[in-house]
Amino acid sequence: MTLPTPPFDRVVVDEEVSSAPFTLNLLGRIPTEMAVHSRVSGDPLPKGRTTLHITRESGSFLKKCPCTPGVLRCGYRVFTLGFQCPFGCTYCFLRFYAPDEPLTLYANLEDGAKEFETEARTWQKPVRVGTGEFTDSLALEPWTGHAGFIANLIRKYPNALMELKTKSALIEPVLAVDPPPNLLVAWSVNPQSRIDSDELLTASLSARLQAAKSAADAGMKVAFHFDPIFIEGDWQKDYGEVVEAIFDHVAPEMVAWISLGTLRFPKRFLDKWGTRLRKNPAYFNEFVLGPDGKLRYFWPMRREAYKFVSDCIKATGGGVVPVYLCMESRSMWGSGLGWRPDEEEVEILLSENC
Amino acid sequence: MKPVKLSELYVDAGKWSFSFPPRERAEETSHSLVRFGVMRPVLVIETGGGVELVAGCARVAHCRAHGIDEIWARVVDGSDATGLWELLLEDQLAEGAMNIVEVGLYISKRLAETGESLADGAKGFFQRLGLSPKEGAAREPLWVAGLELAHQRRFVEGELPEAGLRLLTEAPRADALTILNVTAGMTLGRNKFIETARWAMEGAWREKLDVAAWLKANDLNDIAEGETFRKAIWRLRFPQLSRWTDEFAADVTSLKLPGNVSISHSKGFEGGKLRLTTSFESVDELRETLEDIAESAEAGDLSPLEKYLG
Repeated sequence: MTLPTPPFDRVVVDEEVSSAPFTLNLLGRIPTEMAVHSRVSGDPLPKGRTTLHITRESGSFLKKCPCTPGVLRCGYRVFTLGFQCPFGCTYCFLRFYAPDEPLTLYANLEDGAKEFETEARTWQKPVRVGTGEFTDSLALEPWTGHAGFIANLIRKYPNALMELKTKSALIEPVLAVDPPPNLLVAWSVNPQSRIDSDELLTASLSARLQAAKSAADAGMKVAFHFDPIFIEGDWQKDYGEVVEAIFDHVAPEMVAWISLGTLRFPKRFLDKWGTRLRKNPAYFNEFVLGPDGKLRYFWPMRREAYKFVSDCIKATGGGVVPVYLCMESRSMWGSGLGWRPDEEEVEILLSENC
Repeated sequence: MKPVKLSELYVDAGKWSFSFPPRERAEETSHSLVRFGVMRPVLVIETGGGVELVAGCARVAHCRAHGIDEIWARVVDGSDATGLWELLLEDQLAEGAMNIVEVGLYISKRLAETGESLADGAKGFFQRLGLSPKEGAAREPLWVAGLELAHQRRFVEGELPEAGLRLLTEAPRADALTILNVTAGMTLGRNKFIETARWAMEGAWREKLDVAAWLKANDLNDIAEGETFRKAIWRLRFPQLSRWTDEFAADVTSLKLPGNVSISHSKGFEGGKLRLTTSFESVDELRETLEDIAESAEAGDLSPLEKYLG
């Protein structure tokens, strides 16, 4: 297979993981001319998003999704195999929390596997897990081979619904690993005009949907995340067209879930980045500070957006696709989706279509 | 140390002085000079043509104003520029901590005279100025020191906040200066100044305009009163929220609620909930109030509130 050009220009390997199988595999896949540095304990940590840092995760790989205070949670777990994303979307929280962190990959995957298996054995009902919280799940797949690791890991645990969340179109490596039925690939989606302005390094919408079609055609369940929704310009038309494009590519029965979340960010994000974002008016819409310290669109704007997009999904997808809100209160669930579930009901909803 | 005739003293405050005290402190210094005279010698360097003052402009001015023709001076080495600026810093710090304008003036003048870089400053003298040892730490003081005197004065007098300076220094300079100019003479308070500045910039950027053009387009240049200006900016920055706020106030008034009942909304109408508050002096009064409200709801009199709910 011909590998694409990597989104990093040097690799720093912590000495303690230099002989780990993951490290050796990865080093075998990078261009031979790429600089590889060894880092011993105590050396300064590498910086910059074009540096790939291979290190050891000394904490937990598997955690509850951090979510945000005061909202309805969905029972999601995050399985963190890396940190930082090569795409650098303008709205991404990583720009705020970790602007200068390197692309970080954890080489002690066997520790992650053990931790996952210990937990997964106890799951009596479906549990949704994802690797795309702190990085894009597939953006570095040509070098990481994570898809194969994940597929083999979850095959024995059908209650683990593992979601690989991406803005890439890299589906072939996933299809190549004989994906088990409990492995899903999910795409974050936005109108192409928004991708052009705020998701510059990601795959186009049509490439993402084509990848989703390939996955569904191969029998895989897929998912979509309208997150963040930008309430700008002719947004109803734009998002309505995205919904139609999704179901033009994928049958509703193959869609495990669709999430909705409007643009939101910590107030300090604008303090730090506001002046640099001044050419992008979308960041200066009517955002109101919520109790969790995040700025969100004025309540009735969000309410309208959730109603509109969920109605489009129901109308176009035939009402079979579970829709949920990300980081919103039960009140907004009630107002935007017409349903006020508790966390357990959300978990049941989201496993029904898998 | 030696006495120096003022007539023989060459003074170039533009080159050497970085003292910019708030008015109150300058007056205290002046009173002290009147009461006790010049207790601290000025600093001078000897040049080919005579004696040049490098620290003590205020002391010399005081002597001139009071007909004193001679002052005690400490002669310092003018050949070592870096060493000389270290002495000037020491002399100034003897008066107490420096304010942001003084820090900015000191850095800009020292770098110009010694040829040092910001990196040199970060490694060397920044911490003595109360700055962190990073080049970027000089950004805000230098920005303020580059303003016209009237705006420098606003920072030194505490009218404008140093805490919110980052917002101004990182904005396009024209936008920041517009905000400083338009708010000159307004009484806003430091937090409200920053809030208003932020709304004005974000409002302008939302419409892809610079702040001056945005203010002009919205006829906001002629408002002189701070709170009126702030509210006008808020309305433009949050058009839907301000419209809802007005409509809500009008709708609640139209309900003709009992005098002991009020209805309010959450901040930003978040949550789609309203709060009804009542006071009562007896259980009977509470029951009557609740019955009145229930009757109003059943009769549809509360229907204007529905748009704010859910």
